[in-house]
Amino acid sequence: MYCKMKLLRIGHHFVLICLFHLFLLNACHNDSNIDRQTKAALTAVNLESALGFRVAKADGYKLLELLTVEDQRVYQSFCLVDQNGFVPHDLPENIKIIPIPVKSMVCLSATHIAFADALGLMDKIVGVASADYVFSARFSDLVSAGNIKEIGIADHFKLEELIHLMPGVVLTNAQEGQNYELLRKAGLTVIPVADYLENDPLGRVEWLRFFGLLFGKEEEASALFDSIKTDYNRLKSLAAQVTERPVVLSGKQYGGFWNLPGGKSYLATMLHDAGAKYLWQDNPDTGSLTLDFETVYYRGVDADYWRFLMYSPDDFSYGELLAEDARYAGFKAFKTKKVFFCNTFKKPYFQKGALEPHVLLADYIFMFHPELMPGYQPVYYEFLK
Amino acid sequence: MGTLAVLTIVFFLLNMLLGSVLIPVKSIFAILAGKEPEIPAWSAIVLHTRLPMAVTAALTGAALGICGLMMQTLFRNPLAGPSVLGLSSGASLGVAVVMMFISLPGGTLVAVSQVTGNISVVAAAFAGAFSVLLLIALLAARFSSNTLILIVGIMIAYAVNALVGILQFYSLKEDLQAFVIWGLGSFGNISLAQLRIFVPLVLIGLALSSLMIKPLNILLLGEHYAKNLGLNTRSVQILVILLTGFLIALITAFCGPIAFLGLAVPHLARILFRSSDHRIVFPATILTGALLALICNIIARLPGFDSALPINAVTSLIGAPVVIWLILKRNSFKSLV
Repeated sequence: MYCKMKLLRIGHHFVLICLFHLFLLNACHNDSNIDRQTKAALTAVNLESALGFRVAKADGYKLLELLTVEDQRVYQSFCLVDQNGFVPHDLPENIKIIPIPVKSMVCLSATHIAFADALGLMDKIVGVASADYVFSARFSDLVSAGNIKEIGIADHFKLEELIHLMPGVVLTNAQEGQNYELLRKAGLTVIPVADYLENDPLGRVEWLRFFGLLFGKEEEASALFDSIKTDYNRLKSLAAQVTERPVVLSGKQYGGFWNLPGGKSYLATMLHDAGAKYLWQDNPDTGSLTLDFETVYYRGVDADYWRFLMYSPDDFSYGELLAEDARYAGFKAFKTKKVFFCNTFKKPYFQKGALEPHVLLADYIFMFHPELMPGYQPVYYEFLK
Repeated sequence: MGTLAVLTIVFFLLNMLLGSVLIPVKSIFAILAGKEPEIPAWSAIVLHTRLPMAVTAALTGAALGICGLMMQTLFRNPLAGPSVLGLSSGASLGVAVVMMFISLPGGTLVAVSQVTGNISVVAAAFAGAFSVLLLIALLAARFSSNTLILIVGIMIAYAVNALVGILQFYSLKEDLQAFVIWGLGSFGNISLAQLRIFVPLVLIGLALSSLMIKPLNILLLGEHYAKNLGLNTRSVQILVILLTGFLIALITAFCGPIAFLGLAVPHLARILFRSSDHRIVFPATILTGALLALICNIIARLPGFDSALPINAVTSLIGAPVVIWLILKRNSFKSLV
């Protein structure tokens, strides 16, 4: 009998809590002045290079759609509602409403921080996946001051802390198979950001507009995108005049396998724009290839240049490269000392690289055609010594 | 036994002939004879990629088979194999620490390959496996029960795997991928220069193991009987554990945990020769192990294709049905254990 009473009481409490939550939710909506009206005419916002998202504007709100880069299929949509705007009443249920400008964000990828930094939005970041990112003094200061919290990487978030931060949006990597359902159930707005899936270097930069849209910085984003685009295209046309395109090999072997970018990937595009010829440029893939060592050796042994990324607090030399695998000595680029690399421990390649394709391109052109870049000091890459 | 030896040699040569890059047979023999081929890259591919891989595969298959054989006899358990004493798990833990705990966030697969090239992964794997081995040997010195050691070994494997799991749980995707690739095993990690260390060590291990043929035969009669015959079962036990431990630690350090061969090869050898006499089964296991590993390596290399498969995928996928088929066909499993 007592037990039953207790259960009833718990049930009663539960109903009360639910009602309270409903009330809260309503209050929130009223706060942001979102009313429902008939859908106004949408006009598409013109994007130049990005394939992963598109935007259409109407009076009072914007429709943000996320698309797969490969087949341009919409996989998620958001309705961004201006401060004095409204939500169209015939909006499908699965479209999440986001009041803009967004007040704060949690960034689960380092590139998001770079985008935020470029648009002066560093103070909007309340949480990041890891505070260890090589980034900037400003970022480290904000972390040590406690303004930016570390909330852990995918699948093992400090969930309670994340919810407690009450971020306007949680920006994640647009990766299949990762489950953010828990965050959504907790009432958070999760937006997958697929900047790194763009194969066009300027396509990645154009995600600036996505950030601009969320935080009311569209004009700044446009201006910055245009200036990076101008720089990139200027360098690209400079390199387009070259008569000889050196052949470039990428990556290193691991366990008998060699991981390389596909022929239509971001890196392949950039090497081409820098007046070089990527060894696998005929390959139609945009992703990466896993090839057998001897395949790559056979094709790469005569490549003029060899480029790779490495991660080490120490310096790296030809001797250490040889210690990794004695077969590397057979490569022409090794013999002619035309091996160059980016140490991602020291350089923010993964953090800022996406936003600085013009700097990366300048580095590449300097490596392949130094005569075109007199007096240039490479930023990300260096020749192996 | 003669056929098996010939087959092993044939498959060793096939390992040299087949690969992603098509090289004419004539050129391959010319290269092996020490001549320069028309295309210099061919010589590097044959001598520095295919040759060390084939030698590694053959020795690994043989040595793991012998480890399995000795352990199956010692523990009187048909399921005993390199993984039961927790040595592979110990090696995994060592490598996991190097790859995932030490490396900092932001590292990539590309970055980690640098660690493997260095001897640190090999050293970590060896250290991990050897610490578990020492622990087991200490236990073996204290308790004589084989069953006890077997159970403790399996328990250690569970505990060590749990530690590896925790490291995996908190590591970055890139490090995790590098670790997963290591865990899939590879015969391609040993360079021609490293073979100079690997080959003599494996051969010493095998030679010392061959001294155990007689005591192992006596052990087959049963522990009491062996004692009555004046065999010091304790020292045999400890010697077998040390020898198998040394070989497994060595192989796991260089090739990663190679699945399945150690467990299956002794069964295949006993079925093929219808005997459990170690004087026959010991050499048979060496040949069968080498042959099976060489066959698996050819399949894994996917001749004619640009890519390849991880070796463990092949050993288990191809080997498991073969063993099941043989057992069902011969139906002589019960006589073996």
